[in-house]
Amino acid sequence: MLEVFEKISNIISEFEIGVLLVGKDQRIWWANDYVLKKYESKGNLIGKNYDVVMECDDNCKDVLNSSFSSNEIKRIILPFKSNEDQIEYCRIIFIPIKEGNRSIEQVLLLIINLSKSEKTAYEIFELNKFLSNVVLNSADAIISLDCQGRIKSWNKGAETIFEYKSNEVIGRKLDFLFPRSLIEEGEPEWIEKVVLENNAIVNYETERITKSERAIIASVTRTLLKNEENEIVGFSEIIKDITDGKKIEEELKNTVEELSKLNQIAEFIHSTHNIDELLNLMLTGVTAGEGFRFNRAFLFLYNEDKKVLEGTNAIGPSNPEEAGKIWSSLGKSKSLKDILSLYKDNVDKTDIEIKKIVQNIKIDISNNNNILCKAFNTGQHFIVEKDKAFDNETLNLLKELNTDHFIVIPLIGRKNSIGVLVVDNAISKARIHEEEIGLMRLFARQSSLAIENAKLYNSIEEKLNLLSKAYLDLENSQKKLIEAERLAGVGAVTAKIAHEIRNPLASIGGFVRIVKENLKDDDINLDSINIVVEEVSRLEKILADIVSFIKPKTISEKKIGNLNDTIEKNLKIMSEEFSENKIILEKYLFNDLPELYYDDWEISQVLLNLFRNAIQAMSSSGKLTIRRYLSDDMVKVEVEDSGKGIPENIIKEVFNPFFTTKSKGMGLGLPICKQILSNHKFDIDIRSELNKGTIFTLNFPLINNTKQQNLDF
Amino acid sequence: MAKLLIVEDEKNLRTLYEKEFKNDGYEVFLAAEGNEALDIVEKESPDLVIMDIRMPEMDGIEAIKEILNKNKNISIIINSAYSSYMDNFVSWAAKAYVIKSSDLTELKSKVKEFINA
Repeated sequence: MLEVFEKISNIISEFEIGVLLVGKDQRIWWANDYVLKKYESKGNLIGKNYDVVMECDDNCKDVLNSSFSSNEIKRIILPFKSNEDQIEYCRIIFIPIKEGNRSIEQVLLLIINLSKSEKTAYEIFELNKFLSNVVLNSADAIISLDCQGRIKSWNKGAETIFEYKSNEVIGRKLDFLFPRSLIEEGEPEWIEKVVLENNAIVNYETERITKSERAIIASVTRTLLKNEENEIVGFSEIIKDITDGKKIEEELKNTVEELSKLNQIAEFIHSTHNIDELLNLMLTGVTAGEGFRFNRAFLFLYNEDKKVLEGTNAIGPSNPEEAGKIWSSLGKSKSLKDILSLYKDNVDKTDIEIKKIVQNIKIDISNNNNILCKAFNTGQHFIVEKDKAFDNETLNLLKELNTDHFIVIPLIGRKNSIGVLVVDNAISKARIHEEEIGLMRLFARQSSLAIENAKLYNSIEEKLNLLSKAYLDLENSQKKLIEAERLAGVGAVTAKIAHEIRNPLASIGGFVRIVKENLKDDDINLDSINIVVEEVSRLEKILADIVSFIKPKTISEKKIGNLNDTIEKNLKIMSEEFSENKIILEKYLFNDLPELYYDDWEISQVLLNLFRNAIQAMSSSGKLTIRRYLSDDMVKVEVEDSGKGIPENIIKEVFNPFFTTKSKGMGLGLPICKQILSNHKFDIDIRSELNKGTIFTLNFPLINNTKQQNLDF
Repeated sequence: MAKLLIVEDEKNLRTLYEKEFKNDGYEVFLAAEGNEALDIVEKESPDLVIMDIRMPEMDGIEAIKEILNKNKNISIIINSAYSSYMDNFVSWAAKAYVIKSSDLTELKSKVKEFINA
């Protein structure tokens, strides 16, 4: 038989085919020249294990072994090591050799080197195997479609995502994966169109439906498949289930939105320090459509003095009818900012009913049965529902607030609770979700801090006001002091000058008088000397005025007295001058007014001065009106003339020393009056109208006067 | 003839008062300051002293004290350009307080009043 092999092998060796005869013991019985030549380096092959010449994998061994038990001719492709240790692909044909009825003792192996094209095809095959493995096991759904869009393949990923087995879907169109609404919108056709136009649609986010009708969010990539002739041969479609990622993204987006909303409201509530405004803004934020969207909100603040939670403020409709009105008036387009601004302008104009309701509620905080107190004391929030309410206390509260549910959220400040916020959806009956509460708590925290801030700010402002008032008082008295010092300074210099002048003036005047006495009545110098005498007298009088202003009578003789007597007495002194100047006198003097403590002589000087001023203001004829009455705990005396009046630009100057509009006089009359009055802690005002007259008002306060009499002087 | 001591540091005024009161028939003594006045009080025992306050050396207030120490019965009239000394309690010991003026009417009437008393 070996000869036969020889012959055959000689023939086939021309084709570079190796021939091996392998026994059951896996040893090489025989090899043709081609093999022998090829593996010369390995020495004599005969008798050696066949794996010397081939890298036999398990598959190869199995095939060889099985060849001994069946008559089948088997083929495998195997990588071979060449002499140069290069891998060559070979096709191996296993031919069992059977002689008669005996069992197979040898297998003939024909080893054929694969041609290049055969090799490439093999590689592609391997690659395909690899790829189909990849495709098969991918977690994404990978589906191939034919030109008509019918499913050709359906991988494990698709089975997992859509819950259909491959055999359920092969040959069907993809439509069963689309939600009905998207089919109605024409999405399947639209995708086809896009793919035909652009060769592909990539990562298109849409919705798909699983076998159990679960909606998933899917990212779809469909690609047009073409052959070398550019003919469409089908489509591949990859569908990724991005539902979870989307959900997280969605939640994140919501959270960010909510937070920015919260931030917006917080910004607003921190922008004001007016507590009422703040509370209103806060409640608006809770109820506004762009805010937390609760129907109503109630605010209870802790009253530290009374140890109670007091209903302070509320917002929202008190019943459904009102709700309709309010909501339709609000409109929908307004942003949160607009609504909050709008509210700022309309504080207290709305929600009066509900405010009344809440402001009637006061709860002792030691009452731990009360759910509001419980929230206040423990810092926890509670959802209260009528069906689940266990006690009368809570049921009553529900009734009072006219709702069947609410959430109570504690308002926690820096250290302690400052109150509670109660929200409900009494009108819309919308359920309140646990997630909303987290955010509400955050908001409540912000609000509490804002309320505390505002309270702090208000108390600081109050103190600041007191302080600035005190400062103002201080500044005023300082001004007065400076003025007094200035006058004292001026006074000291003036007094010095006055006295220095007085001595020489006295001797000038004295000697001139002696000369005058010695002159005869017809002396030509008599007139001149008289003038000197008069002028010296005038100078001395001026000096006396100055000196008495600077250093007025220092010992006041203050007594309890009736101003009317003083007024009457001085009017009598003036009566002659009045009639000389054709002045009519009108008196309105109330009797029985409280008595005052004053120096009669000094006040008389004041009155005389005012009367004389009045006469001068009226020049010839006029009316002088004197009034005395009680007003604002003060006795007031008015001296009114019907004279020419004082121009507005100089009215403030009339009390300044040395200010005068008269051709005669030093301008000390009114300053002396003012000084006398201020020594008494009395005061003087002036009002004047040009060509109508001037009114001087003397104010004699009752406090500061009679009571302090013993402290004075 | 009544003796009159005029204490005045201003020479011109001294001359004026000397002339006027001599003319009115008084025996007039003059002093320019307190010490001088004290000497004269000791030597001449005047009936009345017209006393200026502001003077060099010993001022009027001091001089009044010294004079009254020597003789409590002497009448003193203060004749000053200043009204401020009215508050000084020494001034209260004086019989009168006349503010200096070229018109001597007041001063003269006071002198007359106390000399005759």
